[in-house]
Amino acid sequence: MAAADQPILDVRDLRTYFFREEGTVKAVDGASFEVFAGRTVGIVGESGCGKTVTAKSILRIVERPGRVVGGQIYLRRAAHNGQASTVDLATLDPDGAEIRRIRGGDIALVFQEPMSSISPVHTIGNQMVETVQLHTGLGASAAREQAIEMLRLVGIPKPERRIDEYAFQLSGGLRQRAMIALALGGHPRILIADEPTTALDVTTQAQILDLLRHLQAQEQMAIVLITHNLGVVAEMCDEVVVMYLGRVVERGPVDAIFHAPKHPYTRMLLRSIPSIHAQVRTKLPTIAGSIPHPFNRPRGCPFHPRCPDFMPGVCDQNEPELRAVSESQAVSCFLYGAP
Amino acid sequence: MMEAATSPDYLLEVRGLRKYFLIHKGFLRKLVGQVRAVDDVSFSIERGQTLALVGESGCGKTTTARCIIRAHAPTAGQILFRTDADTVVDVAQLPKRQLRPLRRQMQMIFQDPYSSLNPRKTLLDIVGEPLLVNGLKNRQERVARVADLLRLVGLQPEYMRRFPHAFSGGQRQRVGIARALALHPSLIVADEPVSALDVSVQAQILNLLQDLQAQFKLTYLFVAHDLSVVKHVSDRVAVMYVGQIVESAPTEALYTAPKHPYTESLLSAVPKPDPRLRAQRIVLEGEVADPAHPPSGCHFHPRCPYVLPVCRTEPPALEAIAPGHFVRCHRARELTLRGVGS
Amino acid sequence: MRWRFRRHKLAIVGSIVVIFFYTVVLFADFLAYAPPTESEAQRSLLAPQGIHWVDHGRIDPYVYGFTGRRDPLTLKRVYTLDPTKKISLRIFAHGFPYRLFGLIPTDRHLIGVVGARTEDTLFVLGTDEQGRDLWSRLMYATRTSLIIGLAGVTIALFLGVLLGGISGFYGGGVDTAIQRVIEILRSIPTIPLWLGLAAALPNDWTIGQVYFAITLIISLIGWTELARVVRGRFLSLREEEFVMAAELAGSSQVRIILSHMVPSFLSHIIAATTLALPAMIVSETSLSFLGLGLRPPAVSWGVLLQQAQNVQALAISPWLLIPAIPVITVILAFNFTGDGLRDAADPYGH
Repeated sequence: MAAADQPILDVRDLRTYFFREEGTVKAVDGASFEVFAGRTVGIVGESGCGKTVTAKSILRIVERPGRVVGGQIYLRRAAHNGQASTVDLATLDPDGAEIRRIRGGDIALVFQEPMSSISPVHTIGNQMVETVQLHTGLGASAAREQAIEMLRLVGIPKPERRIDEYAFQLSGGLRQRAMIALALGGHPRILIADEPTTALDVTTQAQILDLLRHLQAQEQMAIVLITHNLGVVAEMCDEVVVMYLGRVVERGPVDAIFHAPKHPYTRMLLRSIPSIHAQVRTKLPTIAGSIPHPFNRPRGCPFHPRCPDFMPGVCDQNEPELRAVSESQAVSCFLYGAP
Repeated sequence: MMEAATSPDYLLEVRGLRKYFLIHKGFLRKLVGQVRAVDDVSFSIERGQTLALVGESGCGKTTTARCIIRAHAPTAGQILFRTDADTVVDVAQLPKRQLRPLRRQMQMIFQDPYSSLNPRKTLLDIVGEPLLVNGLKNRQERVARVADLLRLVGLQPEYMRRFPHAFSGGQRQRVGIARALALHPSLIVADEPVSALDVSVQAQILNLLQDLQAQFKLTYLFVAHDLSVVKHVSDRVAVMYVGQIVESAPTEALYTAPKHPYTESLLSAVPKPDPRLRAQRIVLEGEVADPAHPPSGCHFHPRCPYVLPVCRTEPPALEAIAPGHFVRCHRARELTLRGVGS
Repeated sequence: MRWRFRRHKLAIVGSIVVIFFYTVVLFADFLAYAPPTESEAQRSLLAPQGIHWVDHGRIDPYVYGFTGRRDPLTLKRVYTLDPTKKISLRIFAHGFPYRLFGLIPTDRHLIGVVGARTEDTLFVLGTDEQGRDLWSRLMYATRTSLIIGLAGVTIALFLGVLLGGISGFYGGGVDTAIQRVIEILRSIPTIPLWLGLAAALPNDWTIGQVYFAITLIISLIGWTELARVVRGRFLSLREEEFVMAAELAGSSQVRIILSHMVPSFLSHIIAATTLALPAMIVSETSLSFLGLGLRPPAVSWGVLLQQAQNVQALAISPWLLIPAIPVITVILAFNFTGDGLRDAADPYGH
């Protein structure tokens, strides 16, 4: 059972920079986390924190002028002889055959905007059959059967009819379901969902989250859920990675993150979000200032200009590193150890 | 001037508002149908209070808001507005020319802090435009007034010569608020003012809106889809579904003791930021109905867990089941529904 | 990054070329050294004369004279250079009288021959069948073609902005009507339409009248594209929240249009206009080339190229194809400039 204790995806010190005319944007600057089979990791953060670039880096689909410049992305794959092998995705050629087999095969991606990620000129069926054939080698009619089965699995009513429709003929919720079905076509072991419910209404969001949980239990998939919505994280995730301006500021089990947050940013963020359990018309504690533009990332700890626990001479001079504060929780803050 | 019915406590009273959009098709744009975006909506807002219009996309909340500021011409209904001169005017019937003096008393805050500011104008021009077109021609005075307004919303006046692209989403939203306040309005229609903002910035804007309300005795019509946000700002909440208000009540009552099954499921569907509260959620079947072809009877009946045969045929009326608590449901009195506590 | 830079550079080069050509338009009389219609059968289809710049160690440009005779076998005119006969050239020489910019009477030209003997002549680019100087004709043709392009685009712009603006701003039935007209106009194949219209021009019209009519004909199609651009911008801007905000602030319709909407699409219009111009020029050239546009004695690029229709003529006198060079150059230049402008027009562009 040694395999179960080992992460199927192990991201270590990932760095992805964008080399623009105006300067280098360190979109992801040292992100580390592990993903285990059948569990959900949430990557949370606000705009510019690098959560989406992290996902794209794992799949090596970072668009120019961005590039993975450092770190390792270890993916454990089950080989045919039962022996597990490990590949470092960070070293693969982003246009090579191997990463293309991994995309959609081992790791699948679900985007925020399903409309733009499903081809408008092909029926949903065409695209699904293609994916299924690519990753399973089935014949056309068998692949179509499986595609219909997939659509049924994600809760699309009358799948044998819907399979011949185009994406624009479906409502937002059904489109996101179709997108998920498309992603599941290659039976991935890891599903990366980038803001899968942000464009949806609350009642539809609840349906999609339920669906993801259900599918995870059934397929024993690992899910990497990327979101800015802490409510979604609390409902879905086992582990949480909090990011701010390209850095992981805190990492730990979901209960610890929500009930014993260590990093001032995590603490402030949790306190400042509007809650449905709040007293009517109460004011919220706020985080001062706004997120700096990635071009002018502050020196030292990127959160120091907004931090209530800012220690002059320490936080603005040194860059904190992610350190374990308990067996499962790690924080990147000088409150838990001087530089 | 007319309709003496409204009490002086109320700044705005909407009665039987309807807005139908006609659907044209084909080479000669033949009329083929209509979307009842707003279908018999009535509510009122007391001076100095906040009413939240809540619902999912396509429920008609934004159209309602735009009818009130007359960005859309209503198909039918009354929009009674008490002016600064303490007369009541029906905004729905006013011709465009008479609308202009009224416009300064009702202003809007927009959802998208990007498209709501003209990218080719400086903050001075943006915030100063309402002042300029309403007679403040002296540039010096206008600069001074814009500086005051920027300070009021927490921006440094030195920024006024800069263009919007130099600012973050939260700062732009502050600019939009300053522009809305420039003419001392009494009513502010805020259309999803924080939903495009980062979480850590939302709270700042919500607090700012509350401070300004207290300072200037502003009345807000707050349009939103996020029930958590709404709870922090509103005195009353009206929940809309497919063009109609299905429930309206004081905030506390609506959250703790909802009376409409749709309200219950909305409250239940909101993800709670606490992993220890992973309770059983009510997950509705199906999707929001198409307002071009709404279901018969109660519009909510195809998704309602408590549906009865009567719901399929008889459209329910909006009825008061407690003082100030209105529900559009045949079973409002008998059902005990789950709310969320504080 | 590099392609963006290069495209930008192309736009700059393009605009310089465009400016250069319109300078030629302004100074066409000055740059020409012979009246465009002056013909002489004795020197038809003469090859370009090379200018010799240095004489006796001094800069003193001259060309050699020539003698022409008819080949008794082929009946073709054959020219032989006469190295003993030097014809001196002068800068700012006196020549035929004209009015600079249509105002200032003068007879100065960029170059000219010294002396007034009739056999002392200069043909930088050779002559055509009727013995007319190609260089001078090319200068006048450039003027005609580019002015027709400009005039055509002005009419198209006026119609396009007016009708597109009405269409986009008022919407409803007016919009539908205008859009249908545009669709119908655009669905008619252009060449037959032009042919029909051009053929319908009365034969006894003066050059001026034909000139105007041709301009109208070619702008007839051009406006539809501009109208679509304007309408599209109006429609999308009308939905912009900052336009609604201005309306709520109490701004008048005129102010909203002039202060918020027009500045937002002015650059798009300029770009679209720049891209429409070469189409106008090509239209005139093709019409005239087919003999349906301007007719001699008017001179335009199309009229000049008409002489290059005959393969035989081309084989013997390839210089007749020279007028194609400015056509291609100016059209490329306009397209590069327009592309550059279009990219620059988007304030949120990459």
